[in-house]
Amino acid sequence: MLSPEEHEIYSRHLILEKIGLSGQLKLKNSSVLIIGAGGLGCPVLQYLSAAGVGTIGIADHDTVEKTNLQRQVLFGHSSLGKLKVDVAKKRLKDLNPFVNFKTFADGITIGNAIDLVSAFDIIVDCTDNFETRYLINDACFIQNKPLVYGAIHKFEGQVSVFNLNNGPTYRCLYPDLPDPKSVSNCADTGVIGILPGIIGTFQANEVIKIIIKIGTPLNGKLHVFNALNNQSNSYTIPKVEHEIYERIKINGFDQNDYQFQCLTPVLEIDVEAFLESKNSFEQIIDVREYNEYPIIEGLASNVIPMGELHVRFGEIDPDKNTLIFCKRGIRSQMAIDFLKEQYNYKNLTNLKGGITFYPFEQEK
Amino acid sequence: MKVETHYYGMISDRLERSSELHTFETEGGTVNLRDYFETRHPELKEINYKIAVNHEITDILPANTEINEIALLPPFAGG
Repeated sequence: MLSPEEHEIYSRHLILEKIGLSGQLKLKNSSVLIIGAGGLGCPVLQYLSAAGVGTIGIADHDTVEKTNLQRQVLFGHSSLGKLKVDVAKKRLKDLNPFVNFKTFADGITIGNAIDLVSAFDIIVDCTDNFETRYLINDACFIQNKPLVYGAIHKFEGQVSVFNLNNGPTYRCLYPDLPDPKSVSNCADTGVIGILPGIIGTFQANEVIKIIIKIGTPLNGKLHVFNALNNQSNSYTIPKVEHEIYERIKINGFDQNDYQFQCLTPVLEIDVEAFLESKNSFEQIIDVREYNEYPIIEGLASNVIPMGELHVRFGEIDPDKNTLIFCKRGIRSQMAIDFLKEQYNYKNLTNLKGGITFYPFEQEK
Repeated sequence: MKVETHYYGMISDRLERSSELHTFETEGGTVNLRDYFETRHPELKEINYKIAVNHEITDILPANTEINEIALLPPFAGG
């Protein structure tokens, strides 16, 4: 049942023949998990909250940075440094107090993926990296949950629905994680701020269509939008059973490796071990872009963004014991791979998981 | 037969163009499109992508096929 106030809030839905009271009740009785509260996550969260989805999960481990504000429209300057899940929940609760919000500040990990996905009806992938996209896809396949996928690159966006009614999965389209050397990072490619708004809104629309069972979801279709010329195209994705079963280890899922699989293994140290042996490193190199946060005063002896490494590698003394870090430990792994392969560097250690897991309060 | 090929994402970045005209002769038999494009643009060998012909994913252009459009579709990661 809907309360009188809910009737008023959803009145424009209720008068639509294809939604009406029964559709609105389906929305109210549904649960949707949005993974990633960034550029795509913000519009998805706003529209699904406003539409009256009964339970919304928000999974993201990041805090709000100034560089987010150009496109992540749930946040403002007062949100800087705060957990995205907390800021988003507060804003969305104001937008629709009838929604039950559940927040997951650890984000999605290989340890919690199965339980997290199993607790919701529909999963929305709003993440920004391939490792997490494959992890989400595989967890959705194992738990038989529909996955609404969105991804962006500069001025172009992709939307699709995977694993709906026995349809294809993301692995039917792209079976394996790409070679990290062949992909660019969001921080150094850039994106027009409006694009995640457009693609995220497409994703929210797909979620509502699936819940109410109206229209034709993008099940088995890859929809591609170009913001520069406004062209939209849909491509049919065939279901490729062997690609799914050869790659998703259904038994022993937690043993899967969702890190980039093509990189040469490098010496790694996690944050805890690093804090214990910090003084043994004679150089600490930050390979993030200049505008990336958090900046920990006194930690890095030099900042050399990945894009400058090929000209500034000489600033790294090859004879010194060196730690290299970035946000999540992927770019730093690529930097080490590059320095070892091209310039025969040794004595390089990667900060596993990146600076994201650094206990910032320790530095205060 | 001249066919417009659309390049998306990082393929468009690497090739520095968003589309290109290619000429195919399918009267003589099938064409392996991956081989065809990677011979002309060797940088594609380093990129993960799918090929779509007339909006259907395939690597092979069957003989005697009328083609309206080809697209090279790499995955996007951003969010």
